[in-house]
Amino acid sequence: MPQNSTYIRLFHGEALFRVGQMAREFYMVKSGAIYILDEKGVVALKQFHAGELFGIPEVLAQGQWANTAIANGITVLTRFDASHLFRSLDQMPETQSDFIRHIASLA
Amino acid sequence: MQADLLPFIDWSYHPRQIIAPEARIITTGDPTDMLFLLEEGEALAPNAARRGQHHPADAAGADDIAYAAGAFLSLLEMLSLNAYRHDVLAREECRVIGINRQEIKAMWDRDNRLAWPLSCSIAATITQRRQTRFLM
Repeated sequence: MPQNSTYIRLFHGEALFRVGQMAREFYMVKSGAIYILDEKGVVALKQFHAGELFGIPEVLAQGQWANTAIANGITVLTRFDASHLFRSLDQMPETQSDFIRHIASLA
Repeated sequence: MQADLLPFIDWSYHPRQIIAPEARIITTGDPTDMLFLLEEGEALAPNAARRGQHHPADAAGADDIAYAAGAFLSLLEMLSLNAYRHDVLAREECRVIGINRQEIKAMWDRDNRLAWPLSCSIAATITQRRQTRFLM
């Protein structure tokens, strides 16, 4: 596992993050699923399954989570610290990191 | 000029196309194997919901995407999808340069193998958000 990443395991219905929290980490689902809920916390707007990565634009923008995320079933994720992403960008040639930041700015 | 974001590409070595006013530069469903740089002119990607109702000469609506000279056309879709999802229409005579997607990827991979997949991942997130009005 890369440095600055950890596995986390959630029970069914357990929150990964809540609306308004700072986005300091991004995630990859290893097993199970993460549901992103609407404002009322009732409807799943989006689902992330094994192998899917999410949260990078929010982390790059140093913004807040716009929605609450909960586990559907027992769910295991890899959590990547923002510093991992920023360090990776810093290690890239400037042209590539500039391009990625430009892409993120379109969010 | 967005072409500056890809400084390793010598745009002068790639063929230009002249697109007539109101003609399509990109048609919905075209494969995203080419990235287009709008070198001259103005173009518009009308909101897909109003496809067919929009005249290129009309002012851009709130959900339309307007492109000025120097812009990449539908860059996010090129990075994240197999086929373009929106038409891009010339609002006036346009000159565009096309470059093969694999060529860009190969140039990127020479320096850093994380940059391309990360760009595609971010682009996919934003493209999904625009489709569902949801960012994550």
